[in-house]
Amino acid sequence: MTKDDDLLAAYDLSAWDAPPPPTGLVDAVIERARQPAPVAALDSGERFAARGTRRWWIAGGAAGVAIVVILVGVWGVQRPPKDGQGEVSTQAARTLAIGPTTAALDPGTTVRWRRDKRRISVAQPHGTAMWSVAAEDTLVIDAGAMVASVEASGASLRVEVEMVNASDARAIGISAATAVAVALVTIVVYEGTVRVRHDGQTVNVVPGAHYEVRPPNAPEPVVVGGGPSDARIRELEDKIKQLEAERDAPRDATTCDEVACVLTNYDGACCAKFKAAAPPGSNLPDVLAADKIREGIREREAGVQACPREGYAGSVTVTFRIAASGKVAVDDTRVSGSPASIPDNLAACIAAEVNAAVFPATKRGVTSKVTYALAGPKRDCDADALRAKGDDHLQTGMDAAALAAFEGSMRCKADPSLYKRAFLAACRSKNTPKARLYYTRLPAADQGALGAMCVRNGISVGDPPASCDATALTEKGDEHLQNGMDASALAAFEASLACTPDPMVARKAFMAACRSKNVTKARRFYATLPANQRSTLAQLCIRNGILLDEPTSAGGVIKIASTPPAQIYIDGVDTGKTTPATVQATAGNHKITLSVRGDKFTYAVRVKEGETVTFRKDLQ
Amino acid sequence: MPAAAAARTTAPLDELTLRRAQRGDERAWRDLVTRYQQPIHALVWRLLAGRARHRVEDLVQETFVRVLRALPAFDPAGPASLSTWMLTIATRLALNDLRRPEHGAIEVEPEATDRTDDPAERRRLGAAIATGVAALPDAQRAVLVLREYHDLDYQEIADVLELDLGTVKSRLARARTALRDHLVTAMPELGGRS
Repeated sequence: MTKDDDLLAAYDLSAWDAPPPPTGLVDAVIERARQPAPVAALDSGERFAARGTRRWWIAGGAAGVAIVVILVGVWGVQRPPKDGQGEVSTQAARTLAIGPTTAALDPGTTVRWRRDKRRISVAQPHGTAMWSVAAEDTLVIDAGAMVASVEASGASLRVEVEMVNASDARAIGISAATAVAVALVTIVVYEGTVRVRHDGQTVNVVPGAHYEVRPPNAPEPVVVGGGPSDARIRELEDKIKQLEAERDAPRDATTCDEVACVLTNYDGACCAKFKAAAPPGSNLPDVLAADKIREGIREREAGVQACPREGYAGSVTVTFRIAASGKVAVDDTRVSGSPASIPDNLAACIAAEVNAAVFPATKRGVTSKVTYALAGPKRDCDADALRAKGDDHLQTGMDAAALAAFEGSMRCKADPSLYKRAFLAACRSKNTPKARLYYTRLPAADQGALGAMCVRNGISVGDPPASCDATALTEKGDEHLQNGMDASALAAFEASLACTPDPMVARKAFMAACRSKNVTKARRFYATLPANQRSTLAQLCIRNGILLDEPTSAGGVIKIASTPPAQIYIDGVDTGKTTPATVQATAGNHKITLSVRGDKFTYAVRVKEGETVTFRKDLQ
Repeated sequence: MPAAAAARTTAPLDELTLRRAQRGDERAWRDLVTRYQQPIHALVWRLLAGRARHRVEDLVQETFVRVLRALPAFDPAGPASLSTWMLTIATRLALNDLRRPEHGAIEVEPEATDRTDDPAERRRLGAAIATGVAALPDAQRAVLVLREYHDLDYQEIADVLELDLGTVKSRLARARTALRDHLVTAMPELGGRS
């Protein structure tokens, strides 16, 4: 504790307790929030500009006020906002105000608008916008190049427009020539009534309902060619739900496709032909390569080195067995010290770290061994000083530094009383691994209360096996996936897998990892996929710019070089690589785009299964 | 964690509800307001330190209305948690309100709560703290309340108030000293224990 923090230690400040919030607060807030903003909202840039000119307006003084009064008197409050037009393409979320009508635009949204008196005509070719249409305005949105138009007044609605690219167009049976003019449009109405005109018909969409506009004459989706877009992924998810609902019903053996069978774990007779193609796991390596073991172990080394030494100095050897699933067989882990025997707490700490390592799946498990050198405390090591330093850091909000000081102190001298401090510092510095590590060392009586502190910082600690509900976690992941919360979905699926391993959930985790662009997790789950599903499911990752480590069974390699070095895009997706580089691609036709200082050069290349294509361009 | 804040942590809103709230789902809005109404109300109530209750209610409503309207632009992966972001909005609204000249000096209404189960000494202490906090300059009061009652760390307070870390520390030290001096006078029997 610092001197300042002690100043009020004699007083129980909680004695000054606030009264409860007034009743009816929630209703009042909701009612106000549903009303249009009382003043036409400016977007952030306009606000900034307005702030900068504030002094000028003040200098205008009474003359300005008089002018405003005259204008109000002449034009009255019913005068519509000034006519005008504009275009916005968002890189980040932002608000667009068109007079009293506003839109919250998601990143990647393009909106072109024109106000003519009370009528606002909007083209929203792609992206997502949450429209709040004032009662006096009429908003007409042309979404997706004549696919549909939306008309609203005094309403709140969400409009999602996703263009269908060429490959997806082929996937849903549309010729490439017309693909540029189609879009998938979803309208969700929260308030008021919205009219949607589509395909010669007009539909009134009421609050709480939504309406989807699919491209004209689109047949049921069938996967061919390139990988699916997000819209296609959502369609696949819908398909999953449909198949799950029909799981027990007899089905026509000709109606299922391979993707549906993959995602339903080959449930049903019609999937048998796909299941027989290759037994799951047949493409896994026999044993784990040494570099993969090193890679997995390396991730745990920091945790091992942070274990309190309790005066021990020397080498520590850990013998452990990696199961075929890629997880460490906890009961088989052995820790031995040299030259002296290792303290029990230190051995337990190191074993816990190693047991937490995760490796790619293989056909057979393997036993391995790792040796750590644990240096003894420095001669000038002062545990008490480090502890005091940590306390000071903690009080001044330097939580990461506090954690380092506490760990330094524990390396000097074993002191279980520091676990609480280290845990607190880890929680506040949002160091999840360390928080979890020290949580396990807290007295059981303290875990409940202290664990809540971590939760406040967004860190879930502890191991709740008693309440582990794999089904509930999977359902939660499904819901997250449907809502586009891919990272959360991945976390939920991983939690479910920690409860109960399930290949179906692993597939969903892979999908979530791809969509959330989590390369590490995507590659990890990719390694667990059955061989006959990889080529199909790998498309999800490739479309999200993730190139998986191992070549797919239906792919090849492109070696790309250029002068000068250029950024590489494959089929419009940034690979994150610069020439010269080697990228993997599925078999078939691809577009390679090389970008140099903003100039882009696109070339076609054909990749054959298992072959390497060399591609070199002089762009000077 | 400051003792006064220990029992006041509010469980964070789950991500799914937050996402729904960002989309304008009314039920999610209700969940959000219900969950955070207590800490936001308590913050504004303490920052106004005795102002007329209707002002507190107005500011709390205004805070949530602004939160809900700005929610689509809130980035859950950004530097501030949802609760800190809302505390930021509430704090700035309250400080803006305190700057309005028509309010003049704060007229302290020292009663803390209507609770009748508090022992007499605790009620006295509560009243003394209320008076002492009300007497602090607005800037010092904000730092003290955010630290002692809402468990924000120094950096979060610096972010909320747009101050340097050093300024936060010095203001907090001054606020604590002033409050301690006030309490030593008001509650001499407790001050002797420190």
